[in-house]
Amino acid sequence: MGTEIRIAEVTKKYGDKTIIPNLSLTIRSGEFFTLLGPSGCGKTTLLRMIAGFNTIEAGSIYFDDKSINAIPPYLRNIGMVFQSYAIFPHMSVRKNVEYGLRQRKLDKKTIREWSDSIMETVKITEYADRSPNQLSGGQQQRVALARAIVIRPTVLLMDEPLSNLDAKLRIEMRSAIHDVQKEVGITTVYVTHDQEEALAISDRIAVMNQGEIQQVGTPVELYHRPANTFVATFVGTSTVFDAVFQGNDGDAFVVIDGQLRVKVDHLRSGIADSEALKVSVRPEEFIPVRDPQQTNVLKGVVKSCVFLGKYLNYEVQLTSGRMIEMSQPASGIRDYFKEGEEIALTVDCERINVFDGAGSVNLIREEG
Amino acid sequence: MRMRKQWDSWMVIGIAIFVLTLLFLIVPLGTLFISAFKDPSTGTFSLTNFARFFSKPYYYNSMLNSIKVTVTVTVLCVVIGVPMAYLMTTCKIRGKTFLQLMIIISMMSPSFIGAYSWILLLGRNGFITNLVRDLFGFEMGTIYGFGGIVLAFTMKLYPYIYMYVSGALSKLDSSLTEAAENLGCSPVKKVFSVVIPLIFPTVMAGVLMVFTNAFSDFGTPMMIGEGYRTLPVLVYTEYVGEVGGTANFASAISMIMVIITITLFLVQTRIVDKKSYEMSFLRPLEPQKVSLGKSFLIYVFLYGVTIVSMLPNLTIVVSSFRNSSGPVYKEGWSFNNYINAFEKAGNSILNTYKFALIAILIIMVLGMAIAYISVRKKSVLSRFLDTVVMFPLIISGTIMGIMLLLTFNAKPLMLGGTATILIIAFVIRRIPYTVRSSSAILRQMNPVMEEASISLGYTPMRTFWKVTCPLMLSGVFSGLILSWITIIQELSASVILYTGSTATMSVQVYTEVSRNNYGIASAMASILTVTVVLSVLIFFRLSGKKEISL
Ligand SMILES: Nc1ncnc2c1ncn2[C@@H]1O[C@H](COP(=O)(O)OP(=O)(O)O)[C@@H](O)[C@H]1O
Ligand SMILES: [Mg+2]
Repeated sequence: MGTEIRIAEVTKKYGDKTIIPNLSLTIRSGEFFTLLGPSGCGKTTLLRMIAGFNTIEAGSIYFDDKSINAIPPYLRNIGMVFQSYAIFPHMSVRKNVEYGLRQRKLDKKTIREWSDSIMETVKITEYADRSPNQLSGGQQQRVALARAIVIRPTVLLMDEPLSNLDAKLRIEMRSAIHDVQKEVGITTVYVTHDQEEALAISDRIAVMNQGEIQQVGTPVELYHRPANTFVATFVGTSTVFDAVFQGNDGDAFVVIDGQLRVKVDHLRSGIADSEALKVSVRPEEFIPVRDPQQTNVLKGVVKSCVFLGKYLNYEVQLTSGRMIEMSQPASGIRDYFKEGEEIALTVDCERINVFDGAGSVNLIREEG
Repeated sequence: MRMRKQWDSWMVIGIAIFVLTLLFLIVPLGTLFISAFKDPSTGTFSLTNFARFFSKPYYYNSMLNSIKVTVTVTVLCVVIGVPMAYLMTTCKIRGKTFLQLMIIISMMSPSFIGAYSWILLLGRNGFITNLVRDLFGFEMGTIYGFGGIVLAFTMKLYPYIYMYVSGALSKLDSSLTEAAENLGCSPVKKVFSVVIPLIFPTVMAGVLMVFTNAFSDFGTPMMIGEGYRTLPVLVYTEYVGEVGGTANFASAISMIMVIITITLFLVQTRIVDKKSYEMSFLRPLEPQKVSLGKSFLIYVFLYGVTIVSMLPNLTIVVSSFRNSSGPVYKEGWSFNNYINAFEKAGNSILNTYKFALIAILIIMVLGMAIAYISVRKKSVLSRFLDTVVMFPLIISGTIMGIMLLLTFNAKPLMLGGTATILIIAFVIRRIPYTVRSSSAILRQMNPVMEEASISLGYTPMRTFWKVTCPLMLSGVFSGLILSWITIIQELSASVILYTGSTATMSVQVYTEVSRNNYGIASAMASILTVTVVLSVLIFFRLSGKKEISL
């Protein structure tokens, strides 16, 4: 039922400055798709191209194989939710929700039914006759969402809809948006710079940087197999080390930070001996080593320790002077490290990621 | 790409407005320019007119007079307006709202009627003059000439400075002045070292406003100046004078006026440029209680100035009910003046409201469209419109009248003597207020609101009607009220453009005064004054505001 959006070799320029160079992307029908990237990377620009508010300098955008380049924004049948809500202050909540329907030559009864049902879905029925400026930010954003989806749009576009809300509301609204989207089943493009929000809400995510797509994948893929060091550090936390490759009888070893030598299976072939690499390690991929005899470790001192219930978060200063973040599942009261305590670490060689020297290609081969 | 289509309707509107501007503003300006350089006897291009102006003291003295009057008035207005604003903002004053209302009303009242009232009070046969003579047997000096002009202008124009400076002071953060106090500044020093520099740009904006008003006003010097000629009076008398070919000379004087105003405007923008301060985090100045002795002086000052500036309005209304014959008021009270006024000039009363209403409707539509184009559809065209449309703000109405008449007094557009040309003059002269206030509110409005509507299926044009328009209205009205009030009291352009059947109330007051029919004049003037006051009050009631944004 949903619509597939295909963005084909699209370019956006402001004057001489190319903001988006030749970008291609396919968003599957019915999925919750997120554009994730640091602020200024061109997410809004791309979203507004889909909506029709920005011109397209080259390339095409298709809805189900139909090019929409020449269709003006008011004929694209798009639902949009903005960061600043953009609720019409001179209309009641109900009038806001019905606004798009009234343009669509529907009879009064249908308008009423549709808007009642959508207000039910986003839980604003009780505010129907209020004026928007009597509503909180979260309630206003619900109205905006209702107003956007009540017209049964081909696609739903949301530009940082939660960033004006406080942290608690953000989490509440994020699941509300997720649930409503699943219930209605519209193809949704969601823009955010908040990776945690993206991971929590999306079916798939495209990570953008400087107008280019870095990686497209499910939250799990992005987290565990980031395509490059940008994604590794932008999505979740990773420590990126310089490393060197060592081949030995067909076994592949990586020497991390000149100290820790680990065997990595599933590495791509064709890497030369002593080739410079990058290795990214997530906090939970560091493993403390208890045996003082062990020398193949990264040594450091615990600088801080935060107990978070399910796990502990440490800041460790390595002998190289570098600060890293490490976490440890809460297991037993005796296993914890204290501030100032010396610590030896190795890494989980199944889970760490290995990149080429520029950090731009992930060298781990997925089996299967 | 083919996205262009959606802007098409605005493009058409933009071009239409551009053509109108060209036709009714640029071409007339050009005509004035050409006319100024034409030798009236030979019809060839020359500098004769300018040479004539600068060769005879009779002519160039009026320029010196204008400058003398304007500078004096401006200085007085600053001297009165700035302390008033400062005291009203920083001290607890009883009846502040009342004072403010009175100040606004003095500012909005027709200035030539003010001048006329001062004659009724302090003229040869004035109420106060006679009172002083009867009581003390003492002859006061006459107010005709320089003194009278300055008095009438100052009482009408100091509110501009007051309003501007109050606005600026209300945006000052109190921590600034507190900081100054902690540094050991005494209150007086604080004012000079902290407050004045901060409000300086605003004072300059007000100064420009007062200056252009005083410099270009025709009615006041004409009424009370007698032999004391200023430039607008000279332009008028030269233009309507019987000697042939004086239109060219009047154009040349007009050009000189325009050049003086533009120079001043440029100097002002140069001085103020980059000197305005934005306070981001605001804790406004708190009004303080003042000691008894001090507060007595403050009250005398504030109430004194306000009452004196309101005096003309009261005088006019009171004297309109006195019996009169010619320039003499007699014993007894009646409605005779009104009855005579309606009989003799009822037409002009109707004209005033009719023309003003038509002009206001046009201003509303055009003003909103121009504001929308200049804020939302940025282009070379829109920047041009934005600047050019504001230009009439600094041109004297007399000059505007002459420009229009020079241009449209021949086929194919023979408009001389019609109501149309009056309405055109009203629109051009007073649309800047509405454009300015509409643009201001549009700039504050997030365009995302309009995009939301477009994404919901409304074309840009329907979006304008459904969303932009309703949200703009409050801003539009705050400009419209100013346009309206200034149109109904318009004299300087009307007096050039009217014919018997298109006379308005202002013109009628002016002619009745010059014919010594003081009774009818004061009845008409009262109707005008009351209309102004009611308009202001109704606007305040409807908008919930307590100020008129200039
Ligand atoms: N109207 C514009 N004119 C010129 N540059 C723009 C315009 N809009 C956005 N940009 C530039 O395009 C880049 C991407 O902006 P944007 O898409 O808003 O980023 P994001 O939404 O990812 O934070 C930024 O560098 C911004 O400065
Ligand atoms: Mg953005």
